[in-house]
Amino acid sequence: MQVPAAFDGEVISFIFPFNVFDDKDWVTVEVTFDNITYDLAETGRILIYKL
Amino acid sequence: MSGNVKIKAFTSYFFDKSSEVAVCKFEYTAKNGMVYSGLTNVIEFDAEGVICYLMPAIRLSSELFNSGGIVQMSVSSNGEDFSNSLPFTYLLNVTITEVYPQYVPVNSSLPSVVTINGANFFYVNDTGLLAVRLTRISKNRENVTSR
Repeated sequence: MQVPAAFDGEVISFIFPFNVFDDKDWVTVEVTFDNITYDLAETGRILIYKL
Repeated sequence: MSGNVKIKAFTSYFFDKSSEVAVCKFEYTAKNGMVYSGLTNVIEFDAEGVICYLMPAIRLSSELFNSGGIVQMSVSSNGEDFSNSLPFTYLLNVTITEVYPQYVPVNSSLPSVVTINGANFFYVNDTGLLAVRLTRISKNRENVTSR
């Protein structure tokens, strides 16, 4: 899925859609500028966990 | 952008789009005033214009490759008489160094803001899109093969 992101001149940030994924899902993150996608590889993996 | 990308020029009065010598020209003016130019063949065309491969930045200038910059693009049906030119910007390759946090709660009642650090990020224009694509890969990271 794709979510909108913001760029403040230094970093890109976005609000994680936690309700879409399950506990212990690993999720890759890729940045898309103007429909060109940049793969983040290892640094772009996020683990979802249950509080 | 490092090249190997198709670029389309929207044209009018293009004499012969199917000509074997129809080309796109890319011209870069370096900071010291030197002008570097290169040609790529027209590989496709339609009613709107012609499509060429983008000239790789390194083939034009190491300065352009290392710093990015604006290139003037024009087209020709005979390789000699060129159209007006329009600017095209080469941007440096985007690199990512960190995503933080790397762990996000699935059942939080508060929004989790994820931050991405890196280099050569750029603003997209009003009609463009800055987005993040999220893809589920595995329940168990050990099962994930390196990419």
